[in-house]
Amino acid sequence: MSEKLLEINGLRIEYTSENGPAKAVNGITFSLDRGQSMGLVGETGAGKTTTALSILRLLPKYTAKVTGGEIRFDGRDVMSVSEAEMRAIRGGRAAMIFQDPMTSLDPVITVRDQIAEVLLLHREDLDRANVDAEVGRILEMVGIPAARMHEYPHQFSGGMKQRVMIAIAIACNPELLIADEPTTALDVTIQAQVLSMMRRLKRELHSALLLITHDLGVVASICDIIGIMYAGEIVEFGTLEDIFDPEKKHHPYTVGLFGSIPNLTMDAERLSPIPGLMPDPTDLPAGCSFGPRCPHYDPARCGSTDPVGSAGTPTEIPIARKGQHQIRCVLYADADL
Amino acid sequence: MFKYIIKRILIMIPMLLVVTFIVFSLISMSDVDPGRSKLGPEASQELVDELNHKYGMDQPFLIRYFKWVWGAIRLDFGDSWYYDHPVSVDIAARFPNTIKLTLLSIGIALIIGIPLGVLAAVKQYSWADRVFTTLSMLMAAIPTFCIATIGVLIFCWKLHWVPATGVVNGWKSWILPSLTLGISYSASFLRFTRSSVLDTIRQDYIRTVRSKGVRERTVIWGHSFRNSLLPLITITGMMLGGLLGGAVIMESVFVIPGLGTLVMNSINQYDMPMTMAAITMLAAMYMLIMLVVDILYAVVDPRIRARYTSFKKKKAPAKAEGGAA
Amino acid sequence: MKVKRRSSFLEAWIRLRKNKLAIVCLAVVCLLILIAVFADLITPYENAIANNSAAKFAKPSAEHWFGCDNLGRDMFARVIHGSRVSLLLGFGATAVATVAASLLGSAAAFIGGKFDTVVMRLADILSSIPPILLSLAIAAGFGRGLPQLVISIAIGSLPGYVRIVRSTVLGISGQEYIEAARSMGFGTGKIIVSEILPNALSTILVQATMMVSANILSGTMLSFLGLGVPVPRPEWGAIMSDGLDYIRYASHLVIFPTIFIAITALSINILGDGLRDAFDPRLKGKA
Repeated sequence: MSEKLLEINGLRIEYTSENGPAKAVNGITFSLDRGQSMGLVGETGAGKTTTALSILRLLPKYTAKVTGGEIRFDGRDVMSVSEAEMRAIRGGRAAMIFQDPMTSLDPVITVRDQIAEVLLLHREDLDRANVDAEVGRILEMVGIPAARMHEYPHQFSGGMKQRVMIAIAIACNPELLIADEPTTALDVTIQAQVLSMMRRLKRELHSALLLITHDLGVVASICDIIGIMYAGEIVEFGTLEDIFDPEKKHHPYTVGLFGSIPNLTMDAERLSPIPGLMPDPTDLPAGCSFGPRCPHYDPARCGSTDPVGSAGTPTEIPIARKGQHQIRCVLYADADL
Repeated sequence: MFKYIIKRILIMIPMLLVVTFIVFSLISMSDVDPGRSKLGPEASQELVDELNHKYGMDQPFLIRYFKWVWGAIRLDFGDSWYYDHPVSVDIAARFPNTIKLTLLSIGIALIIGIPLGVLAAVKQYSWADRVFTTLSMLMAAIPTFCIATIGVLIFCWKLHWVPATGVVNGWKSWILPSLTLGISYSASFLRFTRSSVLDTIRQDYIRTVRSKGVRERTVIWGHSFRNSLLPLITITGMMLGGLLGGAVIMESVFVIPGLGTLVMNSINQYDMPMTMAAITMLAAMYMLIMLVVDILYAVVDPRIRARYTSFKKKKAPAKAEGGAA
Repeated sequence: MKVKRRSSFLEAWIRLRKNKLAIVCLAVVCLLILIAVFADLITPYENAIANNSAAKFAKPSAEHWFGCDNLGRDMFARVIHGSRVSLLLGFGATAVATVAASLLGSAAAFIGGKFDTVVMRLADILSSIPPILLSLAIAAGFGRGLPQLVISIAIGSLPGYVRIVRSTVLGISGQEYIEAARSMGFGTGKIIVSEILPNALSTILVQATMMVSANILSGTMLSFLGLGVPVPRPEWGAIMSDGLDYIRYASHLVIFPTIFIAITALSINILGDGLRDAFDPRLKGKA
C-alpha cells in the first residue's frame, strides 16, 4: 500500500457546448495521502465538482471529455481500468457525497434498500439475511434511528437526507470519501451538525477526505491541506496553516476570497468583494485566468487578457514553492514565500 | 392502501351515474318512435301506443332514467326492443370478447413499447434509437384502422397466416386484431418511455446510484425505469380512451362479436336498452381499468401512497409493495 | 402588442422553415386542401356517385386510375371527392371547438367564481368519458350525418381545449393592461373580445392546428364505423369500410383510401409537431 492514495497529474477536462469546448479543468495537480483531508475551495464554476466526478469516472458520458493528465487511485490509473474494476472502486473503496440531498436520493426506494444496495455490492461478509442489522448500525452512526430505515426519502428532512447520503457513502468504510459541497444546501444550524458529524466519522473511519466547498469556514474546521481553485486551475495550495496565516504570502485570489468573509476583528468598514466575474470557460484569457479581476495585473508579466484564440499561445504562469505551500502567480518567486 | 382503493371504488359510483345520465339524455334526444319503428308503418296507432307504454316511453324522461338506474343496480338492463329477450344475454356473451381484446392489446403494447423505449433511451443517438423513434412516429401517426386494413390484406389474404374474422377460429383469430391494436399503441408507449427514461437518467439520484458502483443494467431498470414508471402509468391512463375506441374499430374490422359491434348494431336498430347497457358496460370497463391504473400509481409512488396511509401503520407501505411486486 | 405578436409568428415561421420534413408535410397538406377545394375541376362529382354495372370491381386502368368499386363507381373520383368531407369534418369540428373553447375558457377564467367551477367540473366529467362512447351516444340520439359528426368530434376535443384557453387567459388577465382596460370602465364581454382573445391568439391557433389532424382522423374513424355521412356521398373512412367487404377480390378498394388517409395523417401530425417546436422551442424533443 502506497502512502499516496490519490494522485492527480495535469488533469484537463472539457465539456462540449454550443459555443465550442468549455475548458472546465485546466491542468490541475495534487495528491492526497491516506487518512489526510483536503479542501478544494473556489467559486461556483471553478471546476471543483468536475474534478471530483472525474475521480470516480462519473462525468456525463456524451458531453464531458478528459483531454489530458492522469488520475491515480492507490497507484492505479483510473482512466484505464475496466468498467467492472471501476464499479468495485465506486461505493466500495471510494465514495461520494453529493451537493443536494433533496434530489440525490432515489425517491421511490426505501432508505434501507438504498443503503443495503451498496452494502450487498461491496461487503462480502453481508447477505440479504444480515444486511438489515448493518444498515441499522450505519444509520445510527449518522444519527438516524435504525427504526426509520423502512421510510422513504420524502419522509426525511433535508438535513436527515444528507445524513442518509453520508450513510450510503461511509457504508463500506471507503478509503477515499469525496464530499461535494455537503452542507451548502442545508440550514446553517444543520450545517454545523452535519460538519461535526463528518469530523467525527473521519476520525473513526480513517478515511481520506476530499472536501469540495466554497466556504472557507468549513475547510478550516475539517481539512489538513487546501487547494484554492480558480477557472479550472489550482492557484494556491498549502497546509491549513499556510493558507490561513495572514502573515504569509498569498495569491491575489485567495486574498480576495478572505476579503469577502465578514470578520468581527477586522477594522475595515465593509467587505471587499472581488470585482468582476469568473472568465467564460469557452473563452479563457491567454494569460493568467485571474488577470482581468486582479488588482496587481501587469500585462507585461501576466500575459494578455484576450481569449487564447486571439492571442495565440497561452502564457505560462510560474509557480512559487516553499515546502508544501505553492502559489501560481508572477508576483512571487520561491524565495519570497 | 386499502382505504385508498375503497375510496377510489366509491368515487366510481357517482362518475358512472353522471356518465350514464349524459349518455341516456343523448340517446333520448332521438325523435324516432320506437313502437312505430318496430311495428312498421301499417300497424295501428293503438298497438304502437301499447308497445310504447310497455317500453315506458309514455313516461317523463327523468322517471325513465331513474327506472333504468334502479334496474341497472340490480344488473337488470331490461329487454331488448329488437330481440325481445333480456339485454344481459347479449352483454354476457359479448363482454368477454371485448375484455379479452382490450387486455391483450394493452399487454402487447406494453411488452413491445416499454423495453424498446428503454433501449432507445439508453442507446440515445444510436441507429437503434433512430430506427425505433422513426418507426414509432409512423405508427403513431397512421390511424389504427388503416394499419388493421393493411394487416388483413397482407397476413390474411396474401400470406394466409391467420384468419381474418371472428372468434370462431379459436385463438388464431385473436392474433391479428390484438397485435394490430397492440403494436399501434406500443408506438406511443415507446415514445413516452423513451422521453421519460431520458428524463430520469439525468437526475441527481441516478448519479448517486452510479457512485455506489451499481452495474448499468440495475441503474437503468432498478432505478431509472422505476422512476419513469410514474409518468408512464399516467400516460397509460390517458391512452385508455383511445384504446377503447381502437377496440371498437378492431371489432368492426375483424367482425368480432363484442360490445363495440353490439353498440353499432343496436344504434341501427333503435334498440335503446341494448345501446344503454353496452355503452354502460364499456364505460364501466374503462373506469375499472382506470382504477387499476390509479392503484398501480399508488403502489409505485410512495409519496402518493403516504397520503392514504394512516399515521399509525407506518410500516404498511413496505409490505403492500412486497405483495404487489 | 401587435408588433410583438407579429414578430413571434415570424420567428416561428423562420424556425419552421429550417425543419425540412415539416415543410414537405406543409406542402402535402396544402396540396390536399387544393384537391378538396378543386375536386370538381379534377373529376366531376357525377363519376363518384354514378353506378356502372359494366365496370364493377374494375382493376386500376388508364380509364379508372384507382379502379372501380362494387357498384362500378370510379374510385379515383370517390377518393378525390371524399377528401372534401374528410377535411370538412376536421376543419369544421376544429372551428366549432375553437369558438366554443375560446368563449367558454376565457369566460371561465375572466368571470371566475361559481361559473368557473361549473365549467371546469363539466370539462372534467366530459373528459372522463372516452370520446368514442360520446360519439356513439350522439349518433344514437341525433342520428348519423355530417352535422352530428362535427358536433360529436368537437365535444370530444372540447374539455382539453377549454382548459388550455382558460389557463392562457388567466395568465394574460393578470397583466396590467387588462387592469387598465377595466379601470377605464370596459365591460367584461368587451374586454374578452377586444383585449384577451387577441392576445391568447397564438396559443389558440397552435392548438387548433394540431387539433385539425386529430379531428380529421376521428372523423374518418367514425365514418369508418358507419356513423358518417349518408350514402352515396363519398368519405374516406366510409369508402374503406365499404371496401373491406370485398378486400379478398378487390384490394384496390381499400388500398387507395388507406394511402390517402395515411399520408394525410402522417403529414398533418409531423407538421403539427413542427409547429409546436417552432412556437415553443423549449418543448423540442419531448414526446
